[in-house]
Amino acid sequence: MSQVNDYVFSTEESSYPPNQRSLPFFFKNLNNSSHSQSDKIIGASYSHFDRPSGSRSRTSISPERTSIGSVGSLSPRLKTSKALKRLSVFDDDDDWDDGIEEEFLGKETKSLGKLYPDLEYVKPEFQQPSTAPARPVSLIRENYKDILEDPFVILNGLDLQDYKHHKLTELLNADSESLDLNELKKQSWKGLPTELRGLVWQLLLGYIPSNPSRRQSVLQRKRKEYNDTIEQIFNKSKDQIIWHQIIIDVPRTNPSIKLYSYPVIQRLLERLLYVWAIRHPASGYVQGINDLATPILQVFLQSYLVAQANVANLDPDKLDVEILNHVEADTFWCLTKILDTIQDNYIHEQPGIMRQVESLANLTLRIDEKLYTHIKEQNLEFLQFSFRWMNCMLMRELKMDLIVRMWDTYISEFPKGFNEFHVYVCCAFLMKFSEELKEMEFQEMIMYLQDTSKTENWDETDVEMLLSEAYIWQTLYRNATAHLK
Amino acid sequence: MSSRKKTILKVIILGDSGVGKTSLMQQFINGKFSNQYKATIGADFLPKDLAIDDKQVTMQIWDTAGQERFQSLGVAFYRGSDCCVLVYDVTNTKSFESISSWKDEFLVQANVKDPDNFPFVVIGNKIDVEENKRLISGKKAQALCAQLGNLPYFETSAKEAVNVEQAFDVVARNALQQEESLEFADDYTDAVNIHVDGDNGSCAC
Ligand SMILES: Nc1nc2c(ncn2[C@@H]2O[C@H](COP(=O)(O)OP(=O)(O)OP(=O)(O)O)[C@@H](O)[C@H]2O)c(=O)[nH]1
Ligand SMILES: [Mg+2]
Repeated sequence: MSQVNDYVFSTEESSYPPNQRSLPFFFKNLNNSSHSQSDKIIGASYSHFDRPSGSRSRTSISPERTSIGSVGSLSPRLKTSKALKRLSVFDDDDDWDDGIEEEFLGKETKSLGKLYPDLEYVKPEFQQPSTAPARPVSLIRENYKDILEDPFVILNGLDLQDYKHHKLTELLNADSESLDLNELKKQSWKGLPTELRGLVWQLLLGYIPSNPSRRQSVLQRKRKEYNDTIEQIFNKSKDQIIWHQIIIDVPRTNPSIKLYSYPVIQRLLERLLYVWAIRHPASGYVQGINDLATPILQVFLQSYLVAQANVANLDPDKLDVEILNHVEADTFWCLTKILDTIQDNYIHEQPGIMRQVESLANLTLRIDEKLYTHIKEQNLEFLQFSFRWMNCMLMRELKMDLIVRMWDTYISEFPKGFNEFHVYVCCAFLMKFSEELKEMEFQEMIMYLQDTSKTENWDETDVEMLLSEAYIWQTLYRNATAHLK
Repeated sequence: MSSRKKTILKVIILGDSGVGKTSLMQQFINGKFSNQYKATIGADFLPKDLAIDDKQVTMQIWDTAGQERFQSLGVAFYRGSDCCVLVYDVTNTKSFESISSWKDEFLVQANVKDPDNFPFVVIGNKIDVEENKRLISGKKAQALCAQLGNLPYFETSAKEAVNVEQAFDVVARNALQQEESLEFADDYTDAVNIHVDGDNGSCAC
């Protein structure tokens, strides 16, 4: 297994002239290396594409890949995955009204049961709904009550034989005083399996201690503290300005994902956003924070569901309220951890975002001077298109499942993932569209940049490419942009 | 279409969060209303080609975010506007009271040359709501618009497509007028510059 920092390129930083358009240059390098080192995988984030070496085909990172929607160099397997994925509910808003049980029937297809990692979202298509045995299926893990007490219990239910994330489970199961957090970060960088994601996020964010003896008591205390705070805060008269903003934003949060249409979820979000705002008077509630709460909420809910259940289509009214209650508290605390690292994105004048936008512009100038010049010549300002990228962590540009995957890496880079590293990801994102943008004029450019359909067909491969590229830019330019937070 | 470049009219929509700016824009541009719009972050850009009488123009509209925290962004979107639309929600008193501060904010940040003659249009949105939910009467709104400098006033429903077309027709016309007056002013400035240059030349002796 290659590790997070085992990037194949080994060229010294100093050999890169600072203004060089380095894309073709070192990407070529990457390709060469991949041929010479047959077992090495390009970029940390690709390390989980483990498959029998004979059939292994690599995703090549070539300059041609920068064109949007090009799947030319993807392996056949990935193409299949992409094709199959179109059948999955994640892609398709038409599934909005599907019941969760119907959704869930895919579970029986064992051959595709362990869909790790690239096929994770590929739901086996349910062939003939009408003739399927109408057996009651439970979405909720049988041992959910134990998981509520101790999130590590989830490990007991895993079928470890032929489990792709062997290393991860080994780490988590280690019988030691405390976990090897560094190794855990490396694993998380590459993307986590659905059922372990909530647990690993909580560990890496420092919400649950790595020392097993303190885990349960810490969790209990935190959840109690949250509930007490709720009571305290909601017993006082509300800050009308903040409350008004929250209650008009919650119904506009992820409107295309069914989960967020349920009143219980909306009330839950309102509460935790309001509590956060009151406890952080320097920023208060700022639009966009509502978006940021949702990947966490979804991932934590998922911990109580069987792996194949699609949390996006979950009917939360069918859950034990205890689950909702604990998930709310856990979400609150982990959101707080993340927001702590980007506080100045949301205070007066949003200096964090302004700085990040400026860094993005500087990086663009270094990496792709032609694009930079073109943008300037067209009088397009970076702030005009990238403010939202920073304020909402690209959540408006990418689908939820991809954001969740991206956050595996961000959280493994904690506490720099959501600020410093994110700028490099935005940079890689912009570079993806460089060729197209350079042919466009102001109006077309801005329309194109804000059009979310250009990433509609993206899957995890695309996001992992983005993350790998961001990692490379960061390695090359980190010192040059030392002023970045 | 002629080879001559189309006139571009820059329009900006301001108003408190939730008053229905995005909904109005969607109604105007795409002729539809949905409950599924997300809150606007920063600003969204919406172009629309239209004809004003016989003149072909492209309206470039910035639909901005209403939350006060985003106001430091203003300059990036306000500059160069030909018309500013101020929207409030007839069911929300605070949004009505904000109208004049949005106007001031715009004038400061956009660095408008002749503030007294800059075209604004005021829109009171959500008139489809039940009578008892409406908190701002048309009369009250008209009084404010008169006081702010006889600003044109429209009452709309983005939801039921009431008066949206009409309001934006006036927005377009006023923007065009503003754009043409600016063009004229620019020509005038150029002429002055040439004149000055000429003077310099003749003084070089
Ligand atoms: N009844 C009614 N509701 C409306 C109308 N226009 C908008 N709404 C609702 O008001 C809420 C806010 O609408 P938006 O268009 O998102 O408001 P906005 O001004 O763009 O808000 P920000 O983007 O946060 O600044 C949504 O729930 C809309 O459905 C209308 O004409 N009538
Ligand atoms: Mg809006």
